[in-house]
Amino acid sequence: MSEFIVSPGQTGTLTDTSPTVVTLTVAGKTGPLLIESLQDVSMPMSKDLFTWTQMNYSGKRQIPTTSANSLTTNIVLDKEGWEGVVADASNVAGSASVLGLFGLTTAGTRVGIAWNIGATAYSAEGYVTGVTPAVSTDSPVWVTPITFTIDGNITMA
Amino acid sequence: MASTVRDEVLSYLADLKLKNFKVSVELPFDPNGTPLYLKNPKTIYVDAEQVVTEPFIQMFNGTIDQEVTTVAVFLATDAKQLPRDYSTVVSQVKASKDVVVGKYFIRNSDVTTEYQTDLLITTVQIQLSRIIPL
Repeated sequence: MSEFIVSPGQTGTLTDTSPTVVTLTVAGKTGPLLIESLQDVSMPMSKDLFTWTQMNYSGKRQIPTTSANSLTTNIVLDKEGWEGVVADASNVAGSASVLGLFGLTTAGTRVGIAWNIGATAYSAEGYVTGVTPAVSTDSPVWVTPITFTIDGNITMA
Repeated sequence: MASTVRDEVLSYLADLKLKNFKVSVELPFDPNGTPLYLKNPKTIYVDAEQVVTEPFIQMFNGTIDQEVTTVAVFLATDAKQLPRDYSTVVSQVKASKDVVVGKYFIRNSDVTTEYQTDLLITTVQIQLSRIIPL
């Protein structure tokens, strides 16, 4: 069996190279937004199916067609990541780091999305959706799910 | 030096200027482990605080911890005839959970009682939880 890909933070003899961040960039704008404090990550790649029946088959015929790709995670909010940073030479106006998660969500800005599974880098383009910041009296830290809705294909490096 | 939860509880209790109860700054046990509140009824003792730090939110890049501070307050009274202001004093001791300054998001106080010889031992357990860092 090949080597397991373990979650970030794990140590030992298994692969331990998963970064703990999802990186967002806006094309042509210097200033990436690093989404940290990840609690979990999943990468749904659900395919649509074309289904038909055929007289000589008792089971339905099915073939996959296009897929709806996304990356979903739950994070703990931090002020800079949520509100964005003040623009400077390294973080220009309109960049992901300046817009922050709030700005990227409300403006519906198209972003480049980069993440890893183990040592392998993945990238795609899409939008920040499904942000639902929440806090409660028994858990006084803001947390939110995030869906990165991917427009088109995911590329594996 | 920053004041501890115990210091703040003691300061609050002293400021109440209770008529029928004293507030001792001593810890409630003598070197032999004998509870001082058994020797000195109607004296309020505040035990050393216990602090437990435990993971609150796990993330891939670290942990947000929760610090739980517990302070026990002891009070012995005559079991046969409770002081007239016993209930008031216990309520005031319970209320000390709200006077401690800090970003505590859980503030509990539990009252338990037990009998020892002719004394009623009242223990008020004050428990405060906060996030580290916040």
